[in-house]
Amino acid sequence: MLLARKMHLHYGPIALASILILGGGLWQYSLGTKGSPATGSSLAGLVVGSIAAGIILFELLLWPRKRLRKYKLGRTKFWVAYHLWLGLACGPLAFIHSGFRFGGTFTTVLMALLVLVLTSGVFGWVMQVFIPRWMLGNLPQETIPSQIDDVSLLSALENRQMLTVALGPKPPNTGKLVALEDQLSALKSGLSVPSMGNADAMPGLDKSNAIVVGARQRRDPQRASFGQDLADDLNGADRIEIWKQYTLVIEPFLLKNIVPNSTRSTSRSPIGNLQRTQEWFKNLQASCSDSAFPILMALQSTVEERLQFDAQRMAHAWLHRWIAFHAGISVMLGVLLIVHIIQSLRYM
Amino acid sequence: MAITGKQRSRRIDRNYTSSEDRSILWKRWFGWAGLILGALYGLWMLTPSAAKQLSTGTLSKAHHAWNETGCEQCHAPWSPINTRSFARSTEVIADNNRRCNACHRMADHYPAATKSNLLALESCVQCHHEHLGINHNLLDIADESCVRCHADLAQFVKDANRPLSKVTSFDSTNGIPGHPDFQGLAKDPGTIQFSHTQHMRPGQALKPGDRSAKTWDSLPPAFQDQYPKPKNGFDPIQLTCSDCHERDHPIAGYGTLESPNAIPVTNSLDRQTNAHVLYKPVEFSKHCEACHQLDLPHKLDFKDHQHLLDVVATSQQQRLARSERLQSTSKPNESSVEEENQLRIAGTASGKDLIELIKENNPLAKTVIFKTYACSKCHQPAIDLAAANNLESIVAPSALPTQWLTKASFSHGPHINVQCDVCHKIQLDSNAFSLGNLSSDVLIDGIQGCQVCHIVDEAKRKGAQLAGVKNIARADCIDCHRYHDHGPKGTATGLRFTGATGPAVEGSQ
Repeated sequence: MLLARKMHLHYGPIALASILILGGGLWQYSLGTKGSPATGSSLAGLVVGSIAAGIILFELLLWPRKRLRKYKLGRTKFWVAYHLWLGLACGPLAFIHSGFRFGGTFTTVLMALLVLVLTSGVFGWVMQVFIPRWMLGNLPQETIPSQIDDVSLLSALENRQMLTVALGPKPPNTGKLVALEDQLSALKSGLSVPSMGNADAMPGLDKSNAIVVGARQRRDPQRASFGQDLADDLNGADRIEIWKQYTLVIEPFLLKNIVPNSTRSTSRSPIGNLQRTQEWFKNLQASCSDSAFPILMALQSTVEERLQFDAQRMAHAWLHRWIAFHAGISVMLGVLLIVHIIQSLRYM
Repeated sequence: MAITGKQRSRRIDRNYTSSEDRSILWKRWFGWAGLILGALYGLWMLTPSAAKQLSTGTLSKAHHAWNETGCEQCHAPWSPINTRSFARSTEVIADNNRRCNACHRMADHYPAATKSNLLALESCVQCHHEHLGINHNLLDIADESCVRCHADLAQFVKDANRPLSKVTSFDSTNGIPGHPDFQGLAKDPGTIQFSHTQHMRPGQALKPGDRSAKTWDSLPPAFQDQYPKPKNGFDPIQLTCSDCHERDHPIAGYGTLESPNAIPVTNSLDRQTNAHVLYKPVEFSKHCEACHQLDLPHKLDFKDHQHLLDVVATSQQQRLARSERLQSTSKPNESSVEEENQLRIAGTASGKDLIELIKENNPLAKTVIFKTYACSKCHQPAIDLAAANNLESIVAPSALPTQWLTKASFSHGPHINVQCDVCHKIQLDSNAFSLGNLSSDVLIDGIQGCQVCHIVDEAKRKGAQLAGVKNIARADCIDCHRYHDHGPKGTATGLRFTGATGPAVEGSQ
């Protein structure tokens, strides 16, 4: 099954949903006349409607169940399986309940809400199946979504440190680095903030709270060689060009959406997507000497990581934002369902 | 250039779970928004001003005043009104029916013949369906409403041994018999001897070539204007149906043209109408007297003995003079004239006795008058001739029904574009001497004649139309029958309310 990996977990709810739809439909039609099903106020309509209402209540229980997860109220995968299939059955059951009539404005609103809930739920179901698979194959640098900005900021700091060590202090006339005092002060304590070779370039950085990572320099065979030897091999033009491109193109891209006024839209940046990034770095390598290759490779790796973060942010939105809509209209549906029960019993 | 998981983890704030993800915030906001919106809409729904939201459709014109907020005019709270609703009991149905009866004081359907426990389960909404739009006709009742019981009426009537027809459709379908023959046409309750065939022949002749045929010139001048003059005044008069049968009202839609001051009257469906439904009873003075003139005044009073003697004596003298005149002008070979003369002579002869009988105040005088003054030509004698006080009352009431179909309400209005002889068959064979179509012949083929045009099945209707049948029409029960009706000549179905809160009286059937 495309939408479920452990299909056997779904057999139970599928069978239950099928029985409810088939049984309810036949019963309701049997009470009707001339092929037209009975209305919601018939015995069959009331029973089917009550079942549908019970299912909606059960579906809404997923929320408190999440809050009360410490009580271990059943396994999550069972809850999800029943949530999916009974939720899907709820649509046909509601139509059977109403005798395939929309009724008045209020019941039409209810039905429209139910259709929206079902549609958003199915949409989310598809998203939850396909997007994680895609992310697993295409976003190896995936991180925690809420930490994307912090990780990108740290990457920028690491790059500054790396360039300072490898190329020496930033020459004049190579642009101006963005001040990051506010962003650094906003970082939580205990976070691995890299130390800066040039402390003056990092005003506001409290070294006492920072953990020196430097892992790239130490572990990466290529980056491990960064140091005075590499600096000696690079000519002045390379240093100026790399610092300049870093300051004007790479760092604004890394810090986009993080630092005000340094945002460079993805579409206008020469490194806005993977294809353009590879082309741009290829051209940059061509304009520099071979000695600059390790540094440029490290910078390209950082940019590609940022691109993956962007893709991950987008995927994360598709993966989770629908839940807000789904949950909102589900709650509204639940509230209006109570009113529907009261008013229907009153005027049926 | 890959970095290790440990390195990656060190770039993450260890307390990241305490910071709320935007998706979680969105979910919370939307959840609250849904709750608030749902609660606001739901609370409003519980108020009377939102009643329209619960309505499943616009009310018809009759109830449209309550379309917005008048739910409880018809809906009794917590009493399901829908006929297929669960938990409907006789109390609930009665509760709902009371709402309708507050304005519509309608009779039950044959309460004397129907089982009362089953009648108590019948509700107004069983047949009258609301919320189907402003133009929906609440009186447009589907056949299913009637067939529900009439398909097997035995289980609904008190007298199970009563012969009952099982009616599921107007026409027979798939071997299932349709509507039974019209009971109202089975027997002519009238007492008039009359031949439509003779009266529809030119000059109302007994046979072709009969010289006694009526001509326009032979009519008394006072009646000549009633009949169109033929090309030659001595040509026989050709009557048409409308010469004797007058519409009770103008044809629907032409009322103001035909009769601008028409007063609405109640028709057989108990409804006020100006439209043509039936034909007025035939009146002797208007429709017969032009040809059939009486020697005695129609209103002659028998109590005034001297006046009666004078009138009879005068008429005898007139008859005698006329008989002598006819004898001098008639040809011996004309049998009809001879018969007429003999009749008149006999009348003259008995007339002498008649005067004596009148002088003696003998009851036989009325019998002699009935037999010798042409009453017996069309009428039957009254059962109690001795009690007759005037000439009119020596004959039995004509008893001709205005509405022949006693169990239904037939209207001629919608059939006005159909020629009379399409339904009323008359044998006009000019060579036949037989009068034919005697008074006992109702001149209606029966239900078969109706089923030519009135077809239930839509496919059959189209087929008939393709086959060239004109005036194809539906055949719904409601076209002729009414569930509630109290018309004296129509389908009286039980109790009739006499006033707003007054007691009910038994209706006639």
